Amino acid sequence: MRAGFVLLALVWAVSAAVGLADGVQPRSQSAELEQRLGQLEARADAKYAKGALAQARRALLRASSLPEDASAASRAAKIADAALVLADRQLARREAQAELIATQRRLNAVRERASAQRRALEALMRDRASLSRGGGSP
Amino acid sequence: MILRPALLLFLVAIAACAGSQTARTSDVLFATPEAALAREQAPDLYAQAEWASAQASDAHRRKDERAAEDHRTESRLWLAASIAEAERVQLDRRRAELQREEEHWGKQLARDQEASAAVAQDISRYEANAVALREAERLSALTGASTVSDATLDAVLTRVRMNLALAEALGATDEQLLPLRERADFIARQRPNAARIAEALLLESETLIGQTRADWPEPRPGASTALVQTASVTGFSADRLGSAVLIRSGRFFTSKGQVSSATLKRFIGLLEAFPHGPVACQVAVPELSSRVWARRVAQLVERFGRSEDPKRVSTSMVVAESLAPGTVQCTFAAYRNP
Repeated sequence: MRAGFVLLALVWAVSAAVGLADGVQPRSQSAELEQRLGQLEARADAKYAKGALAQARRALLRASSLPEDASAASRAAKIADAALVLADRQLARREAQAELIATQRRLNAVRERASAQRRALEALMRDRASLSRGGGSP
Repeated sequence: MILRPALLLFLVAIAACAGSQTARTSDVLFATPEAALAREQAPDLYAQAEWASAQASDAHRRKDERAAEDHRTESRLWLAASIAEAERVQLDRRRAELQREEEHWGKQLARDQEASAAVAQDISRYEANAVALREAERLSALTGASTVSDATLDAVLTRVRMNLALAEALGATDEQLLPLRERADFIARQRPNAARIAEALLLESETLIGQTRADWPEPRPGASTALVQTASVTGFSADRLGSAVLIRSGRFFTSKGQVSSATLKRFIGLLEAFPHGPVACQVAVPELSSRVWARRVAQLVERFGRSEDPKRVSTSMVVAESLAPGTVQCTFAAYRNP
């Protein structure tokens, strides 16, 4: 009888601990997702990932509104996570594109300058050859 | 490049209204070329998309349609993220290529700027040489003329005064300098038109510089620079090499192949003004067996032999494609240091 009581107490303690952990983990994950969402929304270029950010926001709302359905809340959190990664990659892609355009502009400018300089050099070389032929050289 | 953003938009749109999509739509998206590229370029994100898709299939088999739809939505979002990442990687690669191209053009630009500066300097030197040559030939023409023009006389007097100042700097005494200065002043006042008077004064001033320099056992510091400058202002091309000074001229022979007295005289003046060490001259010829050129070079050797120190100058023939036939280049071996 006594042994049975001890076993019952142990089972209760373990299940209580697991239940506590289950409750803490979604809360901390949710906070982490909220923080990531806030950081992305605060960026000056956030408008270029508007769709993905909106979806993340909706998924987070859904996750917090389903406390009784842990499985559905977990799926909603995963959707929020994926949407946040998508938003982040979209913004990174946007930055890469802007850098590419800037590099292309710089390249065009330096290519133009180099071509102009080459023409100037060729003209100078022609002048020098003409002076050389004309007896400018001693 | 145009298709991918459209596909991304499509993916986000269908993910946003995921409820109406089917498992089949997901399969179609995984079969696109963009997805294939994403599998290569962003394998971690692509693997997440595949995992979520597998979860959706499991849920569908369990008849849990809500879970299946959530997993499909998640899968599409991961797939869109992997495509965006793949495109970012490609954009970065293209940017790196452009940067390499930019560096290439930048280097060419720098090289051409440097070359342009060098050629511009050459042109200035050619022009300065042309002026110097005209002046030098005017002075050299004194030999063949009996009278001297006002302009030539002024050129002679300027040159004489420069020579006397240089001789003084090199250590000539008042006893050596004074008589020449008085003669220069006299000529400036009287302006005689006899060429031999001006020529004699000029040669004596150059001889005085040579005598002053010859008092030293070897060239003094700065002598090779002075040699290059003097050669340039007397119409020669001059370069300081690592171990000597090289004087060059294409005017030692006239167009008819005769030795040019004017050039020879200028060169002998240079030899006298810079009296140290042997001078090795090479005459560029089209071929060593040419009798015509052998005769011309012999004529030049004979004229060198009439100078005050006939053994100082040695002369040989050389075939050099880079030099026009008749170009003479002489190495002043003792003028090593700047």
